[in-house]
Amino acid sequence: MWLTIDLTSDVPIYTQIRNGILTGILSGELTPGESLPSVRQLASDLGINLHTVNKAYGVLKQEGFIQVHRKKGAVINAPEMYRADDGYYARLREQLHPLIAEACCRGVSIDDFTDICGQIYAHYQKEARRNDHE
Amino acid sequence: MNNVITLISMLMSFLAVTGAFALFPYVSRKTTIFGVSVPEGVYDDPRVARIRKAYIMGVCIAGLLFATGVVLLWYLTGADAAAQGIWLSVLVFVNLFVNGAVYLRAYRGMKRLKAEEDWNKDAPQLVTIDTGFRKKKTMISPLYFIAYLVVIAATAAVSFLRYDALPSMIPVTFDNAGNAVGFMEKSYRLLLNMPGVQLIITMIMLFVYYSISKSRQQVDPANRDVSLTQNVIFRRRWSAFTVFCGLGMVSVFGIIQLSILGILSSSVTVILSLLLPAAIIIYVIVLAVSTGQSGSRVKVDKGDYPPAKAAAVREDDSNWKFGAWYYNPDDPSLFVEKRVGIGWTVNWARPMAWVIILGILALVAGSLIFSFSTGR
Repeated sequence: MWLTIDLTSDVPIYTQIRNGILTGILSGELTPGESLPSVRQLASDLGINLHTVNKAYGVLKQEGFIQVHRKKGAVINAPEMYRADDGYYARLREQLHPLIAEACCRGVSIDDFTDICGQIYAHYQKEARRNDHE
Repeated sequence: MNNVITLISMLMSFLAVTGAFALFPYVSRKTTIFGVSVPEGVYDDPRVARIRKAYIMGVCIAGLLFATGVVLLWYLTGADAAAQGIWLSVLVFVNLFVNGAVYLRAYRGMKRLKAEEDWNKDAPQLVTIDTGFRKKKTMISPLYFIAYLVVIAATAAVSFLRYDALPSMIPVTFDNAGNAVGFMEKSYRLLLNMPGVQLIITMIMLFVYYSISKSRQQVDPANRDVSLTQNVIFRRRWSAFTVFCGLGMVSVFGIIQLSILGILSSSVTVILSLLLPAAIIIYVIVLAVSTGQSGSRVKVDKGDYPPAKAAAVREDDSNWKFGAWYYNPDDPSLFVEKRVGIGWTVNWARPMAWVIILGILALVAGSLIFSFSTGR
């Protein structure tokens, strides 16, 4: 899978790595049971600090997307392990709050907002469908 | 006759140094010119072309001057082979120094140009990698190293089998015409010298092989599919070069042992010890020109891949001292591709880099002491 990070972006690098791997899982480029590069290998290939990659893997592990084996290293989890649960819905709400607050404040209508959400959702659905066809 | 061979080998070493320095702007990645990272397309800028031309003129003029110096010295020192050897070393060293100064001028020129133009001002700095890179077959098979061990074992076995049949004094050094000039009393230790040298060569080649396999993947984010394919080819070809050159050296040393044992004529040794370096030099040149740094000169069919997107390479000039020495404490990589020329270098911010350099120095010093202690 291709992983691209932007060093000039405001988004922290560990978040970019986490998002990149998430997209890889969604598009099927990373399959359950597949192992990711070791922390050292990934940090070396990206030319960034070990802690940054450690943090990204830590977040992914906490969110249930990967498992860290003693031997195999970081491995992609089966989808059952990260299906949305009550905890996730609570977190989703919390994360949407500031985004919606800002949109509301700037006068974005609810229709416009849900339209945008729909478009983005459709984009990722397409990615996932492409994965099913292959 | 002897003298002429000395002169030719002296001139050849200057030709090699000058050639290597003159060639490198053409085989380096086009996005790092004289150690300065620039966007794609800058390579053809007329100001850059002018810097390149001045650099090559400088290197060639220096090479010509020093070659003239060599001929003069050879003429003046006459038959004194020891003096010639010392003077040649001095001249090669000074020539390297002068070439380094010519390079530094070009590096400064590029830096100035980059500061003026501010090429990477608005472009995002992207780093792209393939997470499955280490699962690809990026190296030639390590099983070739078994062939090394077979040659070494054969050399040692033949030496032992011949031991009783050998005269009490055996030839250990030969002149350029293949006549034995140095003899030593036979002993098992003396005969094991050669397998020892072969083992050291094997260890060095294994280390180089290992460092290529561990080195950082180098993908151009603007052109990722093509550059990834090129990078894999680059690694495969240089790992093959490492394996085959080492095998060639180990085999030639085995053949030299055969002539010490009196099994082969010493003229074979002379021919082979001239042919091997020549073959390696030709191999290097062909590989460098056909592959380029990172595989940048390998033609990859672009039709299969999506078109390149505009992006800047990572701006890390400040981690490359003089464009050539990599020092980056934030990068856990130990082996990285060079910016100047072809091949790999180490990250000097890693303590392991210093351990490796000291280890290599110790190995060289150790083998020198070993060979002097046995009188060769």
